[in-house]
Amino acid sequence: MDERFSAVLDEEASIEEIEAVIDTVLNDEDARECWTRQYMLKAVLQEEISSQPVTFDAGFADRVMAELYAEDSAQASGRPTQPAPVGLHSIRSRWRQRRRGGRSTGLRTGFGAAAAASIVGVVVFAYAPFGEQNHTPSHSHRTASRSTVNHASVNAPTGLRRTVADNHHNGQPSNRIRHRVPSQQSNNGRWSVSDPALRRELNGYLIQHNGLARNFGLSASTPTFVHAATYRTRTSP
Amino acid sequence: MADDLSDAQLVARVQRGERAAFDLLVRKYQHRVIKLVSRYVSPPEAQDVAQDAFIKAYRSISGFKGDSAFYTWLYRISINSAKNYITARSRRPASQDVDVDDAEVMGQTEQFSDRDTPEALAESHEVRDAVLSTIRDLPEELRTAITLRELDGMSYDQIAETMGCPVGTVRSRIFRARSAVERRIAALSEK
Repeated sequence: MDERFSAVLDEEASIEEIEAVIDTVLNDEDARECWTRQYMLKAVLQEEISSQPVTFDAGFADRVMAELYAEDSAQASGRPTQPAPVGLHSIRSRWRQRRRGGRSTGLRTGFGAAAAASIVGVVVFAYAPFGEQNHTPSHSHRTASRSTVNHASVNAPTGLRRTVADNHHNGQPSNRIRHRVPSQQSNNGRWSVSDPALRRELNGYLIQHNGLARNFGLSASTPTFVHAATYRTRTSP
Repeated sequence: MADDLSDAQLVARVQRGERAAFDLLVRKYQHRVIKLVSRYVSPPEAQDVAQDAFIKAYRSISGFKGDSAFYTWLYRISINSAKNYITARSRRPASQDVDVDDAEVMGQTEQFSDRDTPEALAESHEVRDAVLSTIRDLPEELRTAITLRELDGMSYDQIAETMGCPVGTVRSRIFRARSAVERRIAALSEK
């Protein structure tokens, strides 16, 4: 087999090359066997493609956008980003994992988070809708009983701005992130975080819990004591 | 496009009486045709139906004008062959069906060929595993090139753009990847 042969297999050869290869294959038994094996190779790969199960991963797009957002944040701070390697091996591993009936990581994480929420008893989620940036949390969020909430605001485009609530129980921070947050409270009452790595971690937290908050998707699986805390327009008393 | 070109060249040769050229078409399309007719009949029958389809194609290839792609034409012949087979089977008297007790006696007949024996299936799995593992173990640039071509169906131009290299480099990388797989499969067949 030579490059021309390979190009003919790939439908990328000129007429002259096709003629030359056909002449070779017709007159050479080894070349003919090679022709057979190469089309078998194509058939094997086509079978791999056609047997790939179709998966519906509701959280996929969210994870992609969160990753993009995190990379943007890292680039803005001058920190280099490393793209995840995508190769045949990793793709096949995922296929096989799904063929074995494994649930998606996102879904497992979601249910795990639901269980954690049940144990802790309190999950508070805060959400700032488009264009609402000048409201103080003290007037705007609903919290679960016996909880106080601090907010670490993530620098995001206006339309994507989310606020992560950090749970306190009996006045003590329950999240380890809390102890190393290089954050400061801005004039509008929100906390901003300057560390890109921390922002990514907070984004991950946000994505995981987004689906658990009421009005954000899996409301049927949300315990009744879980509430969504939302910034609202300040209203006069 | 070039696929049509190579098929057209082969068909033209067959039409000129070069019968061996049809062998190349069979080798090229056998997997697709068998898979196609397998939608209609069981795997052991599919081989027979596919064979029948190729024979019909050969016999009528002089009338193939090239108005459509060769495979499109072959596809229609294959589907018709499968449907005709199903119709004929439904009309076949029950006495022609082989009883399970007679299987040992009839082992050498068409109904009980050895094409789907455990050994044959194991061999096909072995080939499949060899192909996939060889591709997996290729150097990254070769693996990427062959994967983009065979799994993603990209043209050489698209692969060159994707990988940021000349088309000639793509062609060379795919050839080297194929050669590696070829050596592995050839070694298997020599075992």
